[in-house]
Amino acid sequence: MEKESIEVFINSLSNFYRQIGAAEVSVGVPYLLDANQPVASDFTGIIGISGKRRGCVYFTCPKAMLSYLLMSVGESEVTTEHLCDMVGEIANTIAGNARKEFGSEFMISVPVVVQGVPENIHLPDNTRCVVIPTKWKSYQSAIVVALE
Amino acid sequence: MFAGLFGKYRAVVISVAMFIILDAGVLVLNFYISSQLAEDATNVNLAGRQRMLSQKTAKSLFEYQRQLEIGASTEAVYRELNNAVNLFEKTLNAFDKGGETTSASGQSMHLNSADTAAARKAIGDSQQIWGSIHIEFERLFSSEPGVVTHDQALKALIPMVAQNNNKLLKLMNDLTNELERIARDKSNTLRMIQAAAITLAILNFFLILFHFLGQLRRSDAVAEEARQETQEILKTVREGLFLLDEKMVIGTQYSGSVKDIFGDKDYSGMSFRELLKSVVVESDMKTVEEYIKLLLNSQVKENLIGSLNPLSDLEVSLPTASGGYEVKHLSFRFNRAIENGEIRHILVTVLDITELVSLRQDLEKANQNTGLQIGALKELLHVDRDSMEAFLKEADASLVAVNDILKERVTSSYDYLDKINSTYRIIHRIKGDASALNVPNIVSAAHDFEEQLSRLREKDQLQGGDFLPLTLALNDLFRLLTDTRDILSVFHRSQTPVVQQLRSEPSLDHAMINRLASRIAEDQGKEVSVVVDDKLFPSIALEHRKMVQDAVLQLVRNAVVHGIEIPAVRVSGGKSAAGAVTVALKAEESGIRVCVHDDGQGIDLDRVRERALERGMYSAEQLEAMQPNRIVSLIFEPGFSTLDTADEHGGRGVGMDIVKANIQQIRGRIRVSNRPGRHCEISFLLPHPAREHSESMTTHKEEAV
Repeated sequence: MEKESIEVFINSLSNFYRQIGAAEVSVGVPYLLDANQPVASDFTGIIGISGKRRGCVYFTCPKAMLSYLLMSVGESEVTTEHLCDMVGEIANTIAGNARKEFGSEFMISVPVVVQGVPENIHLPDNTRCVVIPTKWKSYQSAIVVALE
Repeated sequence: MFAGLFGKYRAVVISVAMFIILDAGVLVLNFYISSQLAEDATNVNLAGRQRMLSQKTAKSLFEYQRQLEIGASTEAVYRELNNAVNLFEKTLNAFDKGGETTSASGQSMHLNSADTAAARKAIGDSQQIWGSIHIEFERLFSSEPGVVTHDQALKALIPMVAQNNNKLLKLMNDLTNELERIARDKSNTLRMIQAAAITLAILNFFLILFHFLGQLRRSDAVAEEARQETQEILKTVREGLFLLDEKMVIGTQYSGSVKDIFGDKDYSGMSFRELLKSVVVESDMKTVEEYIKLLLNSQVKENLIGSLNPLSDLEVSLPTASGGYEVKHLSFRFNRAIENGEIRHILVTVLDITELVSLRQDLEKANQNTGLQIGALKELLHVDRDSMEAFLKEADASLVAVNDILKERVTSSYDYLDKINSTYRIIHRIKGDASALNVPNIVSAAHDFEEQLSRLREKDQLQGGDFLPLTLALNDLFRLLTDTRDILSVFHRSQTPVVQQLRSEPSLDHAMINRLASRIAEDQGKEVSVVVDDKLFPSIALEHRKMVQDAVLQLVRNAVVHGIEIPAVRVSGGKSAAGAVTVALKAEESGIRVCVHDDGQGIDLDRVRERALERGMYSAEQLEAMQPNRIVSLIFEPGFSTLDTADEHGGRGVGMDIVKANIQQIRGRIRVSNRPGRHCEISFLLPHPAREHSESMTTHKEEAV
């Protein structure tokens, strides 16, 4: 895994916050995932990656943060559907930016949104995944990059 | 061509030839029959004419005599008589012996002699009767009327003709009948032959028909089987196969893999350009077309342009059935399909070499690592398996600890520095252990990791994202450990221990200490001898032995790196060229003292002060106020080193702080005895377990200079 490819995902997340006019996200110290057991918060948006590199990237965050985000973009009602849409939108933005950066070598799927601890995130077993903790306001979220 | 005809289609050719021959035979026979019939009809006609002539002769003779008697003109009747006699005579002779006669139309014609018995009899009898009559007629015609011979001949002829006229008529009638019978018989025979020939021809026709139909059906079956086999091959073959004509259009037959590779569509009649439209850019497409044109040109040698193939490895993104895109590596091969020396088509073979390419990439990656691994393997040959396994296990646990440190939540910017320092200590220990075990690739990886830590430490205003390279380096280190373990397991699986390590008594690892010292000395151009006295090692508590071993290693490293001078310096200072490092375990009242002594240059207090200032650890005033023993204690602080540049043996200022941290953990005490230029001894006291509690009250270090 190269530093540059992971930075693309981090920058994509920053872009998202910038797009919705929110304050920038702060990035924590990245670490490796123990025994590749996926970490997940309340809502997770997963982007599958194929092509030259295989694996996935996902963004996971607590419900409260999504609710805050929804309200800050003027949404008055907070339903599960809205929350899923929001995390999907974040994942989509990350995917969209990454697609621009990586070009045709990377094939990026449409985001899959999962609520709760995901059972079906398949992480590659021949490398450790990198967890990039992110913090926005007081909410802890994370980008997990799992690339072969 | 002919060989082909007489080979595969011989039976048919023979049948057809026979049919033609039979038909021709029937035709010839027809000609023959009709000519025979015409001839026979002529014969019958002539025989009939003879019948008529016999009567005309008689009639003309009697008319001639009457004309003479009445004295009328005899010229016409005489000519008629003469003609009738001559024609009769000529035709009779022709019937008898074969010869010329005059036809009904006045033309001269040839007549064959009649040869059946009945005919011959009729002719013979006629000749007999006619012979004497004809002699008299000759006499009559050879003289003029009024002449004696003429009258005599006439006189003789009248009764002869009257008497024989009916006989001759009958004989000529017999001849006619006989000739008619012959003609009938002949035509019957010929008709039979004709019927037989036509029957044979018809039979032959049916033979040909059935033979042909059978053969057609058989060859159809063979063709159908071949077609099915071809279909099966095309369906099963993994390569995409199709033919291109001179206009670069795909033929009607192509293998099933074409659809697997390019998607489910009908490709027959599609242009090659259309097929590649979505995967090859325009400029490349032109090159491809030029290449194919070259191939279609019979003047160009195929094997000469093989290397020009622009599509031997093409990376393409193709849509998948699930709607996504898939990256594939395709290899196109182009071959001429030659028939009768002419290039008819170009056979295109498309291979999906995605797996091959990924294997090749893996292999290349593996090759890149091989250099490292062969070196590692060589070193691993010398390493004691148990120590190596213990090291790997511990290193793995240490890396997990590093990951945990990274994971810890950051509340202030100091936490970043804490993370760096804690990580430093762990990585440095791994490096030290790897160096002692002589595993160079782990040493260098740990060294690189330390370099990254150094860079981070020097950075202002650290942020979480700055640690990303470190996290990735940690991942690499994890992988390196796994790889090393894999190599080791493969290597040791086949290895049977030749020398069992006999460890009756626990002791410090002398071999490791010696190896470490001499390796550092060798790298730094120094000479060193290490003496270890560890008789008391068994009395050290079990749980402390590892720490003591690690600390001794670090202190020996420190002694060789910082204490021992290069031989030239030592000799000029009146010392032996080789430095001496002594490790000794001494019993003291309150515990066991572990001493590492070297006869090197000692600790230069001014230099320590200088470095501490340079590193910004303390201000000049603070340093000025410090007592010498406090100055010495600076060497145990994180990040301190008196070396200008860091290499794998030292200079980064980590190592001694680990020793200190570990000793503090077991409530031990460090003492430094230093004489600049002469020697240095760093020792620490391991308190007796019983006394630990009381000594734990004083956690200060003993420092004496």
